[in-house]
Amino acid sequence: MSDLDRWIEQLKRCEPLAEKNVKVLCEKALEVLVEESNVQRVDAPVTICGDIHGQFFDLMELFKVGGECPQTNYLFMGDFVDRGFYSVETFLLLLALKVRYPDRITLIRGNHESRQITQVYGFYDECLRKYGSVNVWRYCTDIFDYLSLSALIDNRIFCVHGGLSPAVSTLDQIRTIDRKQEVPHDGAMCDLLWSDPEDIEGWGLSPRGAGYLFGGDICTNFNHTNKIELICRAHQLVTEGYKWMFNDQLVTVWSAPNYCYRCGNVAAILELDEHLNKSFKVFEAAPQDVRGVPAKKAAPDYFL
Amino acid sequence: MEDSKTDDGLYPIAILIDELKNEDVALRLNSVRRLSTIALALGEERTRRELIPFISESNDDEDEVLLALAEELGRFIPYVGGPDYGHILLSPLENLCSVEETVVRDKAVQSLGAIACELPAKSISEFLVPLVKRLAGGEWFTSRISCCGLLPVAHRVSRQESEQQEVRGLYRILSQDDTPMVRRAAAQNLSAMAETVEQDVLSQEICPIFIKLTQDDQDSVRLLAVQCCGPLARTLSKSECLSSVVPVVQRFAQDKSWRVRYNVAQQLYMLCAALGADCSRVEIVPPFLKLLRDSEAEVRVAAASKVASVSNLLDAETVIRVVLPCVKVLAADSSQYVRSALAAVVMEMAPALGKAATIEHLLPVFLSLLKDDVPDVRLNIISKLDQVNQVIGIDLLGESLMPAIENLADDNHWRVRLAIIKYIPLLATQLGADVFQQQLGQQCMRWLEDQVFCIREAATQNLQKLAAEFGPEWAKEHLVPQVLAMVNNSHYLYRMTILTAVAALAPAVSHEVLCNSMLPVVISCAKDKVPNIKFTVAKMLERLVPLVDAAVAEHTIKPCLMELADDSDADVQFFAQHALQSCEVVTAA
Amino acid sequence: MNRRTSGTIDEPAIKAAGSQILDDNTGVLHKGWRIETRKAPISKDAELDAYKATLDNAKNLPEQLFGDSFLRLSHAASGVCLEFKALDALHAWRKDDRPPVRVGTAQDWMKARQKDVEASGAVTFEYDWTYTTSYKGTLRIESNGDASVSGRTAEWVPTNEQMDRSLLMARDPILFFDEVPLYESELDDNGASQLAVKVRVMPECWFVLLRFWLRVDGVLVRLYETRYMADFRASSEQPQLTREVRCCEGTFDALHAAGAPPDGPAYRDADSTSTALQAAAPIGVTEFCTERLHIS
Repeated sequence: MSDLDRWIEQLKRCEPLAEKNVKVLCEKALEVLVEESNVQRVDAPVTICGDIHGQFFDLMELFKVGGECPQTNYLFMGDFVDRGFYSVETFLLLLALKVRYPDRITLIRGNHESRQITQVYGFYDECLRKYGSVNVWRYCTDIFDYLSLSALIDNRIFCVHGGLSPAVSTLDQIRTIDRKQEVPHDGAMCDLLWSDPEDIEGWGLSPRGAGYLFGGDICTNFNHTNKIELICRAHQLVTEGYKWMFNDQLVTVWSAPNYCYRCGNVAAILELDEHLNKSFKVFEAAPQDVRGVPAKKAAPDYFL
Repeated sequence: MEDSKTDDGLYPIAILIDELKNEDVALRLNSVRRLSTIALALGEERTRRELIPFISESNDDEDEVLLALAEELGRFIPYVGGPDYGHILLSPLENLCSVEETVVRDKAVQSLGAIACELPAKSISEFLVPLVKRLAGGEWFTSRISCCGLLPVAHRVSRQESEQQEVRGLYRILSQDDTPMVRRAAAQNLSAMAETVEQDVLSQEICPIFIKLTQDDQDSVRLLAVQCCGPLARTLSKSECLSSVVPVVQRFAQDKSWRVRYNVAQQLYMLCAALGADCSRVEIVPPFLKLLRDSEAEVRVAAASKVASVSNLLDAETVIRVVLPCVKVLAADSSQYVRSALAAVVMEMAPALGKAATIEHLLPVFLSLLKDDVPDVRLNIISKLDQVNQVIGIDLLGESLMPAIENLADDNHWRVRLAIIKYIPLLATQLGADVFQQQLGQQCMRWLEDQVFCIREAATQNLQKLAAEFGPEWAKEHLVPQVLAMVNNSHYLYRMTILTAVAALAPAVSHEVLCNSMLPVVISCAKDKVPNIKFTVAKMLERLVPLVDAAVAEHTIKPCLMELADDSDADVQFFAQHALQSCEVVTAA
Repeated sequence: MNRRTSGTIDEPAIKAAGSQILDDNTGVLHKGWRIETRKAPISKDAELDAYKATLDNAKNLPEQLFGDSFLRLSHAASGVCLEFKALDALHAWRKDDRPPVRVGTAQDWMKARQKDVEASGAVTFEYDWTYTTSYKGTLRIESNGDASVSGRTAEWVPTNEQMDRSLLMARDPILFFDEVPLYESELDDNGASQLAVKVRVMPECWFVLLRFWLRVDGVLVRLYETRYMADFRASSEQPQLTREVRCCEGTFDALHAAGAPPDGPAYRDADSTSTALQAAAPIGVTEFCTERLHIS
């Protein structure tokens, strides 16, 4: 058995890799990822997954429902880390699978795959806690810079973490982006990872003062121009696990059940067969005994 | 220790010693963890003369450093010159016994216990017993808590009756301490104390302390005392158990704190074991029934989960007359956790009841639990079906269960479906081929097309077990054609399941069926356009090679694998090459 | 499928107080008060759409909206009923209609995109995306057909009497405790916005803390707290209710200048924010008042 196969077995047991092995894994991953296009070509059949957010045991549940990699082909649309308890194990497992089976699994970048965001929302702290140093966080965030920005399945289905950008009307424009950097505050790269669909006409600006919203007509134009039938994206919690918009021209997929261990929502993955027939698999969070985290009853406290 | 710096050979040690005093916690911690290295370098004498006194003074540190220190010292006897010098270590640990942090104290007590076991008799009298006395008299309650943990060991290692008496005296005093935390520690160590004393001392001295603790006005003390009921009952004679433990249990069963009642519910079966069926019926069954009907769901959960253990220690008549009515009520309890706890054990009552009573009383209960709204309850029942099976036989079980099983086979929760599949081979054994095929044959095929991957996987393993059970001829007729017909599914994941099923069935069918019906289908899948199917073919062929003639391997399987090894997909290449390698191994052999 | 959601109940203490546990452990009946909580999963997409319609066609709602959860404290004799619900809080949010906050990167973002924005004709949506609410709870009189109660009104009037801290600090048993999240938003990873309510019921009083907490990364922090206390010691037919409102907010720059810690882990959650803000007080305090419930 190769080191890589051993690491995959270890990570499947939710045991983090030793720091020196993380370094080796990331070096190998870089060689694979650097070859990928900003619009990575993917062949059907493939199963599309949304945000995971470090919910390792729910990822195991996902594999039980969808099948193990490499038997089943997978495309993960980013946000592997932050918020959950096991960002380290989750990301490293997916990365190890990517290195071992580059043609069977595709990972694209989410807005959480960023140095800045992971320092606020958990991954940085988790690395520090589990390794006593931030080296692992450094190796991982360096790899984030090489993750592809989007994927195109059989030239028909476009997959991206957030959504569209006014700076991008053709896929070729995405192909020319220099992605190997921290997610910038401006430009198409930022929009692809951050923007949201909204029931409006044309483009909208978020009231936050940063971030685009795009309407149904924008989506229609984009799909038409690029001869695609569907945009598949993640980024937003949808309580049924998936949500259609714009007359089935766009779908949001969410794969973190019982989000943050308390929302009680279901999650979904989108299974595409070789003829691009779609079927959503809805699943629940892993049961307590599998997860090993005891049920938490509110502890009484003399709050003031 | 100034001179150690000047000694070149000891230079790294000097650093470690220096680090013991460093401002950085991490460095101090590192140094403490390597205390044995320092001691080895210093030698036994200097360790005793310099290192230990130095350490004795440094108990004003961060808790994690103290914890490491407490742990290291427990293994330190070899470094100070063996057991004869072991007493040197008592002083630093004694200090750690009175710090505020519980974890540190507990570790110090544990280490003291380990050292005490190695000390010679002389040191016990001269050092250990006085230490225990000092702790017992400590002004701050933390040292008295630690003392409670040490007393059972001290009693065990003491050689002189007078010392043992003294130790027990201390225990009695601490069990009446003003501070509830100390009494709690005393209660916690009661079982350990009981184990070290003679039978007569147990009834004359320990039992009264036990009874006193059980009357404590603090819930938490009573809670811990109640946990000693079971262990005490096992140690005491039956008559003493009746006179001292049973009344306590009967009272506790009505305690105002549900946590106490909860603990009693968990202890009762141990008393039944100690008292025997007749006595238990009179003394233990009434409080147990009360707990089964407790107003607090948590208590009912605890009692329900022991209903089989208790019943199995009683006579069938009592179980049927008094326990079963309660069980019937619990099966309809408003709390799902109670029903779930009951479902997990109710089947285990079957042996105690015998066949007729199980059919009459227990069968309705688990049929109702089998239809429970909560999946956990259904799951708990299904996973124990074999136990009832042994008692009532499959005919009746099949008849009563079949409708429920057909229902659960399509349950919305895949874990319930999974539990049912795992139960199918057992059911098959009991039903026989004909009845099985008629009732469940089609269902077993449907599972191969389940929406959930791990159900499909379990379905293939199920087929393998069925084929093994009913034989090659049956499999040839009832499994092989049906499975092979599904290989043209338009969805790659379902074709993959079929390939897996074929490989699973292969060892259980005749060579003729394998080579003439199954192998051609597998080989034809090598032309599939989905790489995942192609490498699955390679993996499955690898499994088939040992089952076929060398000629078939050479002329049918190998050429197919060689073609796959030239595929454009890296994974297909990999798995085909892997299969070819094992091919070589097998054909060479 | 195996999640316990009820609050924490101290059964012996409840019995000792001569009070009762509600069916299914959803709360207690104590000193004439029925105190009850419900914690449900987040509302489904279809429910959210329905809520949007009732909220004056709001474009967006917090993605984690616990629409079926609540804390309710009702006093049968007087008809006083105090309730804490996400939807009521969101009605207040819509009514407040605060001007939107801009995130830290807004200026850079806009500057870099000036051309795109103009070319695409993008329209700015102006609404308070932080879900900041001035909601303090929902008060009503429930007559339940009781003639002596119907027609009564209740209102909060300012008072100089403070809540009895010694009663709140006493380590009496907590008969019932629960914490109910009402809504929460990740603000698309620009910070956090949270509304939650906590309750503890003691032998001589109950105490409630409703808290809205907002952090916009690199920009500002808000903590709006409303505390309620019912004191059972007075022998009165009418419930003795006091509430204290305390609102704090400020930009990280201003708060840091006034002695509070800089943006970072010190503002990780509502509790730590509360501590951090104390360092700057009274700078940052925008509202502070104590009121008593007057029933007529």
